[in-house]
Amino acid sequence: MDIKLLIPKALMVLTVAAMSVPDIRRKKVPVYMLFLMLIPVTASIISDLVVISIRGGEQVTTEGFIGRLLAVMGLGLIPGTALILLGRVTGKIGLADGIVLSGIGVMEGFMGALSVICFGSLLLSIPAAVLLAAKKVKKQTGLPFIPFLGAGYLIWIFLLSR
Amino acid sequence: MDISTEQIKDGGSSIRKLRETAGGYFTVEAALLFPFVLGVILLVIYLWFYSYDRCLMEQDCAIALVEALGERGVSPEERVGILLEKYESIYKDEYVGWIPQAAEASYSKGVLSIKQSGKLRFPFRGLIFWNGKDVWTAEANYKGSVIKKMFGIRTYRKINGLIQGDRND
Repeated sequence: MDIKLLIPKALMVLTVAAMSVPDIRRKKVPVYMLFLMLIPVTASIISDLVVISIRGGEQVTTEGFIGRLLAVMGLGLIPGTALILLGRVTGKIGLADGIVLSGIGVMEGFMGALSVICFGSLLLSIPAAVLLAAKKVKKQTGLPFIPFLGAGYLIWIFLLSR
Repeated sequence: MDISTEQIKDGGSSIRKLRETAGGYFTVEAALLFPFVLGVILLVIYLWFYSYDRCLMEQDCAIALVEALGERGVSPEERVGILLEKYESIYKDEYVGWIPQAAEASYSKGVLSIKQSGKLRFPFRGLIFWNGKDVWTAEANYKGSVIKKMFGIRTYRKINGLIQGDRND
């Protein structure tokens, strides 16, 4: 994988890892940490522009770049926005999860965000089932989701986006 | 420049807002239901894509074959060429995620045939390590005979006669 594309991904993994700590402790994430996601997202946009201009050897027009950016970002925001709306409607999903997924979606596009939410939720369902079977938790108990989103993101980077 | 108490309060509240927290949790109930529901939705969508693309491929093969059979005064080799040309000229952007293979056409003993296959890569294919078969495939095989002019005229007359007979009765 191109190192220029890998740097924003690594930054995003670090940001998600940092957000996982308060999430595991209190199942809440400070808002300023969510703003930290702007760093990898901006880095991703810059590296994307650099890679397109170097690898493609083509003249990147402003319209072309903005169009491509809006297409990737717009579609990538769909899973995160859907998760936020689902959380607002049902009250069973936290707002921060949707925001983190939106951040990942902006970087990785629609399929990336979809894969991350699929694997994140699949991984979360294992401890949820185990804890419920052991009667350690009730149905309404909240479980931290951001660490699992991080795990899903790692699966996406190393196994699926190749 | 004087800073009023209100402004200090405003500044303080915006910093407080940054320190505020947003929930990052899934309830156990949601954690158990969500992957199942999401999996079912994805499966339905991909089965829909597969069925749609397969139908479209069969339809395109049939259209190209009928059009190629309708050509008059051409040699068998030319007819095969026309068939492939007609097939390739059909608008392909309607396909959703379909990867078509090269179409094969042949002509023998008055029968013109076209064979086409395609595949749809399903999501999360990077996780399939054991056999590498990360696709759903489909094949369309259509055959048609070139109708001679005389056969066409006789058949038309026969059908026309039957219709007239029905009307007289």
